[in-house]
Amino acid sequence: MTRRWSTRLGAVLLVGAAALTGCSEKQEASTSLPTATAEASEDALPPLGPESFPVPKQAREQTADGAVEFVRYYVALTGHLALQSEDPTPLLELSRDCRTCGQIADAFEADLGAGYSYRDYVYEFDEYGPALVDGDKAEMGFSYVQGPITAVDRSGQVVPTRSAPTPQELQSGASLVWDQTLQSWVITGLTVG
Amino acid sequence: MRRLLLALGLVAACVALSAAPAQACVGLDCDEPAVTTGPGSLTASYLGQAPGGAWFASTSAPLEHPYTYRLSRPCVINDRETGACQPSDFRTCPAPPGRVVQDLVPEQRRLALSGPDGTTVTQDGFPTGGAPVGTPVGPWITGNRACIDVTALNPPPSPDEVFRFFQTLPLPQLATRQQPPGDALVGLPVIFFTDSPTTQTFTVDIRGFTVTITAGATAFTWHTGDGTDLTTTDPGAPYPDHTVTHDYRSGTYTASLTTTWGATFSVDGGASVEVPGTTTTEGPPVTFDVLQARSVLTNPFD
Repeated sequence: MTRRWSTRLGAVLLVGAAALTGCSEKQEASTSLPTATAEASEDALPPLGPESFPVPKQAREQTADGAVEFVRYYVALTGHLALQSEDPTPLLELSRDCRTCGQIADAFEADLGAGYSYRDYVYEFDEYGPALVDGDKAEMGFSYVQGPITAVDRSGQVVPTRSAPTPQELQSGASLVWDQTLQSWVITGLTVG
Repeated sequence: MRRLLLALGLVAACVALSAAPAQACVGLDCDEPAVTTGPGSLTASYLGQAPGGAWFASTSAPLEHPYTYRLSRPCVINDRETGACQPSDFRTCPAPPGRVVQDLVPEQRRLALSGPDGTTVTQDGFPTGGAPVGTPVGPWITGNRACIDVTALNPPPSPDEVFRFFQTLPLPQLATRQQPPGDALVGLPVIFFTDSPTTQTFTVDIRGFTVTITAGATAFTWHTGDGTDLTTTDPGAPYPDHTVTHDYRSGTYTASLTTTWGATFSVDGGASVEVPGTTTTEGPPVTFDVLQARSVLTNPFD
């Protein structure tokens, strides 16, 4: 049940986010009132992630598929933050002691400081299958094809050291832990390549 | 990782040496921590425990061993938030003579193994996504910090290892010079200095690595011979640029100089790293008399 996730432009990402959170089918009017418990349960899941790109509900389920969805979201979040030139702090807030996550956030922060922005941020994400879940921990593998990525400076000139012109496939994986407070998975390790 | 080939076979461990451990990312693709004399990572094909329980890493593994390994200094793991090594990151591990045992955090990653009908599998059922045999799949999984014998990986000499070597080097024994030469006079301060070289470079071979150690005198302790020690950071100078003097009562004194040496080192022409410790040398003593001068009226025309 491998699903392919790819992104080409920031606009695509935003539409994707809306698709994850906003679509619904037409429903018949309910003849019964919602219970207080059900309402409280809905309210008990506060928004998570940046307002412009929140963590989708599917990624906040403590299941094998939920763990995969969270990694899918996290990878998409990096593209969103890059294309929108947004503060990379959410990458840290949605991870715990994740060295690679910190490195990625540091690199994006340095880009912002240098006035670089991203013109292209293309990738493909193919999970190997459902995550292996052991209690509140999970591990999952995925194939990640990155590129082309094009970073430009304030004058629009391409910054070669921050760009990846050719798509490259990287065997990747992530480890996660369920955060009871956030009611979400968070990344504890990200291996790319 | 950006520069790693994807189709890795079940390869022997390799150790790379880098002078610039920059870890930048393009997208999600970040550089691996490079193996250096300080923070860095070693890769190994096998990690096991000897009968006594001691951990060891090796470059050879049984056929289709299910994991590959990465061994990192604790600060490489712990600097995720602080960005700096802590004093507790440098724990010395007991090592038998000729062995290299380091305090490391092991990480392991699954390898795709051959499965039925040409498919690939992993030892614990983790999906491979069809990755070829020998390809690392999934994330690195962090284990517990331990003292691990990495002799077989032949890592670059660590600062501690170089320090042990540094302590055995034939460092110069700086000679004490004093002014006035010969006997001194009560009431006339004695000037101490040394004109011996205060830096020296050694090129040594440590386990096949060419290590250049540049030693420099960092402190000078002048034993005046009357129970006084004067410590300076400069080697002194003769009159009139003198910086080290001492007043004596009349008598015979034996003075000497203890020199404290620090050092930096580089491995195979790489970045210069400070040796974590100092050593001392004792210079040859000098003995002189300090005389009491007596004023005598004389007739210059006699």
